Parts: sequence; C-alpha cells; structure tokens
Amino acid sequence: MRMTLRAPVSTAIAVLSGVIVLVGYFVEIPILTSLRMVFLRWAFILSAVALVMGVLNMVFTHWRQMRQGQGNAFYHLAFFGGLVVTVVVAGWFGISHPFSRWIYDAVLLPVEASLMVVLAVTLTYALTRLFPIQRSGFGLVFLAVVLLALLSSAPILGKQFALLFGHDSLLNYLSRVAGVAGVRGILLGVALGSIATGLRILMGSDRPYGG
Amino acid sequence: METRRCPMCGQPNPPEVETCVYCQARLKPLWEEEETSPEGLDFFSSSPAGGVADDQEIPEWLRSLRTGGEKAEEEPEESPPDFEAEEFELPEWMLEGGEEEKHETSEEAPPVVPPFVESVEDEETVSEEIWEESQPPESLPMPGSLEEGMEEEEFPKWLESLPGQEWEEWQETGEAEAKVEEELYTGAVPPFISVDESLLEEVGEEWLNETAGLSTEGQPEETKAVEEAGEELPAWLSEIQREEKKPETPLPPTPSVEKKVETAGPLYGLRDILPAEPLVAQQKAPVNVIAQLMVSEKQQAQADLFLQLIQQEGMPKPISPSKGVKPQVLWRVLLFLVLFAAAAGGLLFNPFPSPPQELNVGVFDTMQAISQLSPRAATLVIVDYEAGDFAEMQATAYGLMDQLMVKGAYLVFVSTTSTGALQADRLVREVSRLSGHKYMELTDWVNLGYIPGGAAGIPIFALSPRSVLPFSIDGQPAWSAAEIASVQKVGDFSLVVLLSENSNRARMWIEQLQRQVDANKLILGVSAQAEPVMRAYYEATPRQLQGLVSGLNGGAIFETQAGRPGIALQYWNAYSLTVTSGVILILMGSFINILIALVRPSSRPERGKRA
Repeated sequence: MRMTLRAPVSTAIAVLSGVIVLVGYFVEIPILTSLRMVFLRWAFILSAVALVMGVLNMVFTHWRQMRQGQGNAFYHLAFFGGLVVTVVVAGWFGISHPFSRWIYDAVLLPVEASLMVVLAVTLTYALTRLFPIQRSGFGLVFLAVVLLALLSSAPILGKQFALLFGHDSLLNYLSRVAGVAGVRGILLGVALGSIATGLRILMGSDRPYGG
Repeated sequence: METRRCPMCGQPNPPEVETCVYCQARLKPLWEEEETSPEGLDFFSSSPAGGVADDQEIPEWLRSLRTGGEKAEEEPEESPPDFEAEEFELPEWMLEGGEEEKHETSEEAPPVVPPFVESVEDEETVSEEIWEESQPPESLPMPGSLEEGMEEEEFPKWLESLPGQEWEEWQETGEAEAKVEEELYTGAVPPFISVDESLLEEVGEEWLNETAGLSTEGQPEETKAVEEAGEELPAWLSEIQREEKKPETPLPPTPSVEKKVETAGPLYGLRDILPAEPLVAQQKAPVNVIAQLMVSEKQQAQADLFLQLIQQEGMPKPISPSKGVKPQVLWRVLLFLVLFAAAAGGLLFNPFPSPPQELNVGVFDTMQAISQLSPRAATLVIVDYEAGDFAEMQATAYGLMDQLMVKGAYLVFVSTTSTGALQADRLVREVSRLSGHKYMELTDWVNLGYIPGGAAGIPIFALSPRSVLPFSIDGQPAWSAAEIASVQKVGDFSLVVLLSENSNRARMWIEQLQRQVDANKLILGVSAQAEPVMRAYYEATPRQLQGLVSGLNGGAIFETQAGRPGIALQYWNAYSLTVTSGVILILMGSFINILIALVRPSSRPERGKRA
C-alpha cells in the first residue's frame, strides 16, 4: 500500500492552524492571540500573492492561446494592450493620478454600467414573456411580486400611494415580515452550514486543500 | 442466478450464450451428447462412443466379467464367490494339477493380472475400479487356486517369482490366512499390485502364448499355431479369436462429429473438439462472486435513458436559422427605446418635482449617528461595490457622505474589492465637488486601498490596521494625520460606514467586525437588492447596526430629510418614470404574449420546453 506523507502533514497543519485561530477567537490567551495574528497575517499575504498569480495566469493563458491560434486574436491583443497601459500608467503615475482615474472613468465604469443597462432591458423583456411560458401559480406569484416591488419602490408618475409607497405600505410590510423571516431562515442555514464545514475541516474529514 | 462457466477461462456467462463473452470459447458443444448415466465416468460400463454397448457386441468373457463384478459388488464382502457352484473351463496346464483339487482353495489364490487390465493406461486413477472389475467371475478359475493340486516344478517360472508365492509361509500361521482373506475380499490393496509391471507384461504375454501354443517368432507360425491350438483354447479366448478373424467392417461415421470444425474461440479451426464436461461447464457460481449488476428491466431502462440524456448533453444542438426580423426583436428594441426615453426625459425635464415624503427609520438612525460625531472624528468608510453599481451606490451614499463632510469627519477609505480604491476615490471627489466641500487627500481623507484575503483579511485589519495597510494608495504614510493618530484598531474609529451592493460581502464585514466595533458605531449604505438581508441585522434584538440606508429610495429620503438635495433627488424623477414605464411595458407585453399564445396554441410545447 502506497503511503505518502503529504496527506497527514497537510491535514495536521490545517487542523492545528484552525484550532489555534478558533481558540484564540474565544479565549483571551496572549500566546494564542499572537499565533492567531501570525496565521492571519500569513493568510493575508498569501491572498495577495494569489491575486498576482491570478493575473500572471491570465497573461500566460492569453499568450498561449494567441500562439496556438485559439480564439479571436483581437481580444488577446486588447487584453495585453489594456494590461500594459493600465500597469504602466498606474505604476508610473500612481493610482490617484488623473490618468489613472481617466482609465477608470472612461473605460471601466461605462463598460460595467452598460452591462447593467443591458441587464435591466433583458429582465424587462423576460418578464413580458414569463407568464405565457410559465403558466403556473408560481409564475403568477412571481410576476405579481415583481410588479408590486417595482410599484412600491418609486412613485407612479410622481404620485405616492399610501398602499404602495411609504412606511405603512404593503411592500414595507412584506419586506419586514415575509422578507426578513425568509432571510433569517437563510442566514441560519448559512450559519449551520458554515459550522458544519468548519468542523469537518477541523476534524480532517474534509480536506479542500488536497491530500 | 444460474450461469454457465467457461471451461477455458472460467468466467461466468449467461446460460443462453453459445460462446464465452470473455474469450469466445464455445460453451455449447458442436453436437449434443447422448444422455449418459449418472455414472458417466464409468468407462467399463459404456462403449467407446459414449453410448451403452449392445450386449450382443460384448464378448462373452467381458459379459461374464461384468456380471461377476456386479455380483461381487452386490454381495457382502465376507462371502467369497463360490467357484464350485459353476462350471468353467480351464487351460490345459491348469487342468494338469488334478481335476479333483481345482475347487478347493480359491480364496487364497495369488493375484494374476487379467489380460484386459493391460488396456488400462492409468492404473493409479482407476486402481479400485480395476480391482473390482478384475475380480474373477464365478465361472472363471483363479489360477492361483490350483497350486495345492499341482507340483511345484509344474508352475511356470515367472509365477514362482511373484511375491504372492509366500502363501505357504503365511499358511502356516493363522494370522497370515486372516490377512490374506482380509486383503483379498475387503478391497484392500491387492497383492498383484505389487507385481513388477515389466515382468507382468513380458512374462504374462509369453505365458499366454505358451499356454495357447503360439510362437512369437513369426506371423505365419503364429497363425498356424493358433489354428492348431484352437481346439484347446477356452471358449472366451476362442470368441476373441473369431472376432479378430472377422473382416474389418468400417465403422459407421459418427454423426456430424468428424465434420464439425470449431468456428469460435481459441480452438478455432480444430476438428472434433470434445465438448466440455457438463458438470464443469454448467455449474452454479456463488452469488457473491458474480460481478453483475442486479437490476430489473425497469431500472435498466431508466439507466439507459439517463445515459442517453448525458450523451445528448454533449451533442451540439442545431440552431435554426432566423428568417427575417421577428416581432420579438422589435419588441426588445421597443423596450429599450421606451426605458431609455423615460430615463432621459426624467433626468432632463424633471417633470415631477415632488420629493419622497415618507419617513424611514433606518435613515433617521443613520442621520442621528452622524450628527453625534465630533468635528474631525476619525471615520472608516468601507467601499465594497463594483463599478457597475456605482450609479446606484453613489446616489445612496451621497447624502450620507455629504453629512460626514458637513461634520468635518476625517475619512479613511478601505475596500476588499480590487477596484474599491478607485471607487472610493471617485466617490469622495464627486461628493466633495457636487456639495461644495473642499476635501483634500491626506488632509481630510486617506485611501488605504485594497485588503486582500477577504474574510481572512478583515479580522487582521480590524485588529491592527496600521500594520496591515501602513501606506495610502499613492505610497504616502497613511497614519500620519493627527485625527487618526490614536487609532490602533478598527474599534477606535468614531464611526464605521459600510457601502456595499453585495449582501454576502456586507454580511462578511458585519460578522467579522462584530467583536471589534460597537453596533452603535456601524451604519450601512447598501443597494436595494441587499436590503432584505441587511434588514435582518438591523432589526435584530439587540441591533447589530446603528443605521441602514438602502437604495436610491433611501438616498433620496436621506437628502430630503437632511435638506440637501443631491444625486439621489436628481435621479428621482428619472427613476420614477423608468420604473413606471417598466411596469406598464411588463403588463402590456404579458398581455400581448398571452394573446399570441392563445392564438397559436401549437407553439406552446416548444416554449414550455425552453422554459
């Protein structure tokens, strides 16, 4: 039977680190607090390195695809051009320099905002076709709730109806009672799931780091 | 489950297949064997062809042997065969010892190998059968039983050398007699087994020839001697000779056996392949050994269907070419034009100048928390939203940031998104410009930039922000301002403002800062989509947030309550017109599509599948 030291060593490191951080969170012991800070700082640095590695991986991926003739070469060139220009401008002039802000205001912001506009139009179009396609009770309820939320979020042609708009409106009631109740249930489920996942990692039964 | 085990590779096979599914060896024989007796391995009771021989074809001596053997099996072992009760013929040399003494001591006869035993090749495997079959029948004399009536010099020389000749010594003692009797009749190792085989072959043949008066020197002499001694031969030997003299008639060909040629498996091309033993080929394999999936037909059908679905997922679906401009495309263009016109008209013409009149508790609590700040209070502003949500978040946070600037708070910006630093920079500059404040970097605010690590980076930043982010995004020392000189951890800030459009990100900040920041120091400005989740924290008991401003609606209410119109109120009319237009379009579109669906019922299934 093949035995490797990777799995037990990595599992021991993960479990020990998790226990130290968890105990240091609940118990005020100086040495545990110091160790907890050290581990969190390591995670902090490794995350920053991972971000750089992600950028490098994207560069290598585009470079390889461009050499192999995969995809549209224009997109690869656009990526390399944007990366070089942004790195040079932000690195040379600084992030808060007007040149850097211009890149953000003139390129990044309009592009992402236009995607939101497309999303708004697409959702409106999808809602117009929802009920003919989904002829069921849930489809009708979904469409009714969407219309009610839209009408309650803004005055209709400048008119604010008490039933739809305001503190005592129907939307406010639905948001406070039904919405908060549902969200609390979701949050409880998320909390329980997080606890279960943490315990599995601390016990070594779940090893997302491999091994 | 009954299976047929392959005689070549030993793998289990379904009973209905003719060849092995693993090695292609033939499982069913090329010809069907005749039904054999349960004692199928009894070679002595079956013909060479596998069938039962006709009694007429069996020589008389062999028939007598069989009957004798069967009787010997049926009779108890203690009762030796009664040779005296039947008549039998003896060779001449045997009769010379005296007719009157030939029946006396048959039980003490030394074993003599019968001639037919020589045809048996494997004496070890069938030794018992040989012994049982070789027991002399009642009609045959035991050669050894005549020694008492014969003189010693009259025995053949080879017979004297046999180990069974020590009988005289055994006869002197009663124990020897008992031992001989026991070994002879209880099926123990017969004495003749210990005879030298080479001697048996050589001397036995010579003895038979001499007894019959034959000569082994030449065939003519042999034939002649046989003819001369024919009258003296016993009946059973004469029968054999007559059978040999008969002209050989060709055996009828075995039906379709010789013509069969193996056509499958490793024995391909060979002729006359013997079928596998039925007991070997047709056995029941243990259930736990069979590595077959025990499923029913219904389960198998469902598995096939599932496999088919998986295979279809990997196949590209043909896209039908569009024929001209469809009404749906026009409908999409119409939707965009109407929404764009509503937004532009509301933004340009401001048709409904009425501000929102409602009172919002979250906004009120937020304004109260800001109003309690001291001048130049250190305030941490967390900008965690993407560029696509900048318009909504700017409208939401404008009034809040304006109030902070009115109070003269020292703003420290930080973010966990990679573009958060630029978002914060734009936000503070826009608010400062639009509201008339002259907030200056490092003097009135500092941008610490990006916190890597997500949920792992927030607690380390909350515990020691100075060591985690010591410099601003421009590389300047970030903590040199006097307003933040006393800040050692996030809890030392007078107020923490979280601006986010993502409920998960906002939840991460709230939960990580819970032990570091008091709830009355934490206010939120979130988008409308994150409000339901954040409201659960805001309306919790005790509260985990001090204030909550959500969406453009909350921002407009904040600006209205603060009496300082800003971006939210500027967008208010456009927002109202766009939402109203959207509702009308949805109702109209739904009605039209319902009518179309009713008019064209044939298109329902296709649409249903797409949904």
